[in-house]
This record gives sequence, structure tokens and C-alpha cells, in this order.
Amino acid sequence: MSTGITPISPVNPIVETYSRLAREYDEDANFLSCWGRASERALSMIRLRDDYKLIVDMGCGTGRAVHALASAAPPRARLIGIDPAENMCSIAAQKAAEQKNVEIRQGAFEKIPLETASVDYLYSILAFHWVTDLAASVAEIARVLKPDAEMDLFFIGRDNGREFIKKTSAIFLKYMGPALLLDSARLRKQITRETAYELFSKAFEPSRLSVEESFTTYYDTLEGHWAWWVRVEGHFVKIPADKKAQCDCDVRAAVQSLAEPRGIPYTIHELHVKLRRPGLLH
Amino acid sequence: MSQEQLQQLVIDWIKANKRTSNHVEIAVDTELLGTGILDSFGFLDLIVHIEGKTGLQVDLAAADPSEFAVVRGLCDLALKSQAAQPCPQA
Repeated sequence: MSTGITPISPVNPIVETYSRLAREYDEDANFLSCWGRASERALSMIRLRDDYKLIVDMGCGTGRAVHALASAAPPRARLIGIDPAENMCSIAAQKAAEQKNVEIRQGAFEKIPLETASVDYLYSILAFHWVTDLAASVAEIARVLKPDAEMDLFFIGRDNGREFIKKTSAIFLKYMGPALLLDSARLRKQITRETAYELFSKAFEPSRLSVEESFTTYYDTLEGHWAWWVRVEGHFVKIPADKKAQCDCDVRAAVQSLAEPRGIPYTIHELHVKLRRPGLLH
Repeated sequence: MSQEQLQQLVIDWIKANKRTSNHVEIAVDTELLGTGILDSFGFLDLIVHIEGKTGLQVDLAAADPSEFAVVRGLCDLALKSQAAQPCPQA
């Protein structure tokens, strides 16, 4: 079935990984993982105003959030979900088939397929840290937003997953070598709250902008955590195949060694960039 | 740049940018990755700092994983590029 969604290029390994794993994205294991829970928490913080006409979900994935919000959206509001991964878009489009006010488009923060000054409200849940160019992405967001538009961006910060990083970095260094390890780090843009504020305040009026951060520790079993490992698999595609199984084994042992009575902890450092109409920030 | 100067440059940067809040002594033989003092993002920033301050190039393809994450090994890797520079013409 044609979705009318045109693939974007060039191929980004993260986008390719997400697209390949799209069918697994809505499985319970992913939904119940720390990332699923963090996503639901972010979604619960979104409030749609009655006068929003165009609402955009950047990095919509399989459309879980846009699908949920569509039923609660103002009557004349149109929602557009945008994601760079073709297969994610296909699934999201299938879900939205019955919702006349929802449309799915393929695109990315760096090149948003929307007209200038057309969006009333833009939100994004745990996607912005995958951009390839921070400044270009912020400029593109600013381009599509109306002058009085509002925004909520939730994405992971610089100190995300400290427990796992401390335990596993040396293992990845061993199996990937320094060059590949640092190449994988370059794929993500994990910034501090201060850097995020500096970045966004260049494009938006500081009096309308805030950047909040939170550290939330999620406990899970090894298998529970491993279920979301698929989300970062794109980082590791360059591990030689003959080393992958042993690397996985060593990583699992390292993660298991973190176990406490409540489970294995993983702390999500989340940044929340909030843009509000004048006088409505707090 | 001498080995000692480069090591001090690196140690000073790490002290200012380490990701651990607790006090840790940073010495030339301190392992940085497994201890959580730096993560891979920190290494990227550190390499940019070394290259920017010294003009040296850190050739990651030539790096030995067991030495790369130690101050001395990282500095030796950077200094290899200095040794590989052709001698200026007289």
C-alpha cells in the first residue's frame, strides 16, 4: 500500500535503525520500559489550547502521541505528525487513517516539511537529541512557528543514563575501538540545560522561553532494560559481527551488576524546552 | 609541546569538565572511561580541546583501546602526530 510518504535522504544510521525496528516499537516491552514511561510522562504534560489550529508532533514515531491527542484536540485543529523514519511514518499513517484531523509526513527537524509561520503549537517527545545539526534544527523550528506559537520539546540531556554509561563505556571501547566509539557518540546531541537555553534563546524571545531539567530514575529487570536497547542499536551497527555476541554478553553482565532490590536503575536526564505566549510562561 | 605540558593541559581540562561530582585525583595514569570521570561525549570535547590548543591531531584509528582512555596514552597518541610532522625546510 502506498502511503504517499517520500523517503528522505541521505541515510542516517539512527533513522535507518528506527525505521527497521518500527514494527517492534509499539510492543509492550518498549511501552513499559523506562523510555515508554518517560514518553507517557511527557505526553501527560501537554496541554492543547482551544485556539490552536495547527499542532505538530516532531519525531512522532509510530504516532502514539499524535493519535492520543487527536481525540482531545480542539474541534477545528489539524494535527501533523512528522518523522524521518519511513516505516514509522507508514505505521503512524495507518493508525491515523480513521482520524480526519491527523496527517503524517516524512521529514526531520533539520528540514521540516511545513510552511513558514504556519504552526500554532509544536511538541516533540524524546526525539530532538537525534538531530544532526542543533543550530539548523532550532532555526527550522523558529521558521515554521507563528510569532505567538507555543512549544514543548522533551529530550534527553547531557547526563542521561549515567549508571549504564559508567558500567559499559569501557566495554564498548574494547569492542569498538576509540574511533567507532566516538563516532557513535557523535550521532547524538546530548546537551546541558545551560547549552540548551543558550541555543534556543538565539531564536526565541528569552522572556517566553524556559528550559527545565529533571532526573528520574527508572527501575527495571535486565530483560526490561534490554528491550529498549533496540533503540540504541544504531550506535552499534559497526561492531564486527564476530564480536557482537560477546559484546552483548559483557554489556548484559555489566548492567546486571547494577541490580538493587528494586531492580536495575537507569536515570533519565530530561530537558524540557518550553515556549509560551508572552506573559504565560509561569 | 612537551609531554609534560600536554599532560598538564589534559589534566586541567579534565578537572574542569569531569562528569563525577565526587573528588577524584587526576594523574597521568588515571583511567578515565571506566571510572566515569569522562564519557564518550567528554572524550570528543577533550580531543577538540587538545587539537584546538596545540594544533596536534589525535589519530583515533591508530589508538590502542587500552591506552586511549588513560591520560598518558591519550597524550602519547596526540604527540605521535607531532613526531610524524615533516621537518621544516632550512
